[in-house]
Amino acid sequence: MTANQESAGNFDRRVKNLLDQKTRELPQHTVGELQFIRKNALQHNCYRSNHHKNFIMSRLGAPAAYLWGGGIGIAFASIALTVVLVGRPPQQPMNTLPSEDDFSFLLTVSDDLEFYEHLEFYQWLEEFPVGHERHS
Amino acid sequence: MQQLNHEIDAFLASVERRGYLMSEIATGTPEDALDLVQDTMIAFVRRYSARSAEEWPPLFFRILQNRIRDWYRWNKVRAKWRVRIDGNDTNPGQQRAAIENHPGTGVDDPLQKLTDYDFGEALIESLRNLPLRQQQAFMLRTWEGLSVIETAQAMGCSQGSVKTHLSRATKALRQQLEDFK
Repeated sequence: MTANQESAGNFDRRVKNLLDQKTRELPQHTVGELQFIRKNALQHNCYRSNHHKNFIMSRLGAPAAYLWGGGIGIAFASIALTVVLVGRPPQQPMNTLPSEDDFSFLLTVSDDLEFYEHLEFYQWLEEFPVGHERHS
Repeated sequence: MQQLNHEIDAFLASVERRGYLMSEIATGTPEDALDLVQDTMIAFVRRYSARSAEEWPPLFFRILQNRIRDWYRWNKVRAKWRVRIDGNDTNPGQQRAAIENHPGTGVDDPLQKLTDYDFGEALIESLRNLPLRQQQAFMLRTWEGLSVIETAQAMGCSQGSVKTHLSRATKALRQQLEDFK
């Protein structure tokens, strides 16, 4: 082993020892929090092993199972909506043309109709008033 | 199941402090370090507790390193937005480093300053100043004692990259800690 390698080995050992010492000197509250975190993570594991007996849950994990559940729910909702829309009784086709009644007001206003019927006459009368006969 | 839980408990108890110190050196904040260890433990127990015990150390540190990397990315994005909102170009990490590296008013002599630090403090400070990948390679190989293959798996990179990062990290640390020989 060369002096350089030995020196590198010593340096690594010194660093390792020092970092190990640092972990031993961690503040008490940090050590307590780490223990709490560990117990919590393990409890999570116990909960899963006791409660996730369901086939889909155990095979796919909770997030995937939620996705499946959501997808099935949406599928059911779609089917229900389709049934409601298809099963509804057909509506009468909308009549877009105006009926005769819509024009009845025009027919009742007979004065106006008369006026339009004699429109040409009135125009002629305006051009050639009565009493002013043309003499060609 | 009870037996398995005892084994996992023992394993986690053996790595939790080292995991915490790695995270604390990487993030610089005890709260974030505890959060990262917690996420790692939960993910480890959920995904890998069924694996054989020999596989646990590299798997645990792989999750931890991924969490640390995610933390770095997230903080990078957050720092960018903070700069845009505040209109301040100075990185908070740089600000902290500038404050911490600023020489004290009563200590003008560098030799005196070095004697005030012990090797441990200087080492932690030097490790914090390393780029993340170098820091990870050094911690996993030198401290945790993982093989090159295991370190590469934990870091999600090639074995060649591990060797390069480790070599650079060791060189940088030895240079920075030369005065403590």
